Amino acid sequence: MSLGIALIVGVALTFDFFNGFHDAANSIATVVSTRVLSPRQAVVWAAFFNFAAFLVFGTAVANTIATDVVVQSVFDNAVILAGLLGAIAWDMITWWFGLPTSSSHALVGAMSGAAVAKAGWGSLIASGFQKIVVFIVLSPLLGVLLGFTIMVSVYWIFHRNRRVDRLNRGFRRMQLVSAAAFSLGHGANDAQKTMGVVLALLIANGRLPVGAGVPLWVVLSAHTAIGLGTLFGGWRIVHTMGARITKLTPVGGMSAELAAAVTLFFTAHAGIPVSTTHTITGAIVGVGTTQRLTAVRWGIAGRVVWAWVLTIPCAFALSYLAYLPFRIGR
Amino acid sequence: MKLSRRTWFFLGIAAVCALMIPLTPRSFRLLNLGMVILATFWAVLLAIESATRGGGGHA
Repeated sequence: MSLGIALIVGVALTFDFFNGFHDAANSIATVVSTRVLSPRQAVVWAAFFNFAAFLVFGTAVANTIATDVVVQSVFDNAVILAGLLGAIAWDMITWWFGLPTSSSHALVGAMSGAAVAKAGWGSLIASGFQKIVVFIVLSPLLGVLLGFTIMVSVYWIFHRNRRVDRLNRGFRRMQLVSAAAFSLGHGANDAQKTMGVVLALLIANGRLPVGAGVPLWVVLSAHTAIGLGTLFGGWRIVHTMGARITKLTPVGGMSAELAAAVTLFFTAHAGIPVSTTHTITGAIVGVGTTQRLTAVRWGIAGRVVWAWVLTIPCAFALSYLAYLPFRIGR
Repeated sequence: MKLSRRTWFFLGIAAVCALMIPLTPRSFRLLNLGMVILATFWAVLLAIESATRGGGGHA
């Protein structure tokens, strides 16, 4: 492997690390806010299942990132490096302001920005974008619907049970399972985006043929990076997700995580890069809505929505700018 | 009958999901349709709940 490729793989894994740092806090927000686990225990729990996801899921999302967003021939080292730098810059900006935005959409927007800077709008694949943009809207709504449905179902099943303390203990234990499931989904979906970038890099440099699968060393290193990122997770975002959107009980936390996990399992299987942040936010809103709409703090949720709307255009612009020095140097 | 805010919330979700159907790739349209049905189901149940309780303006 040449030094240039090794350097860009290092930057991709750094992005993955920051993805864990920035996004993985979502996996532990509900278990921490319901006091099922201490922050330290929750971080270790989530990091382990982020890593273990490679044993459960395939690499459909990685293939989507590598082949369905930007025309394969446009990818070169400069485009990929500029794309990664744009995505990392946007992640750092939103982390600094405590906004739970999507690293996934930052990556898609950033790769597109660098590709357009190199080869114009024709370098983007409309059908790939269509799938991603549709699920920007659908994934949080699916989270809302599943969160609400699971929460109502749980109420309906247990409403005659008068042993509230015992029930709460049971739900606290169940939340360990649901948090693990959500972390698996998160690891599967988010680590695969980095795998997709590295796969595109290896194909662009002729190290792998077009249509090749993701090598095992790429899978393992991506999961390790996101797991380590989770270990050093960002507490500003935990606070926004876990406590400020709505007040959660153990049963609510379990329902929200289960709803988000189901959504992520589906999208990971279908090869759709969705935002874990969008999904868990939607699920938390769905759970909060079972009480009443005013249980959801819409001001905070609205701030989150604005961050979502801005992510792709801003990451696009940042990576477009990051590519300009390479264009001048040609 | 005055519909509750939650009913409107789920009707809104159903409407958005329905509007997204033409934009959704064919292989995922069944999911989209399922979401429209589920959101409408909850909207109807919440409307019945608010009607039988006689209120419905709040929550």
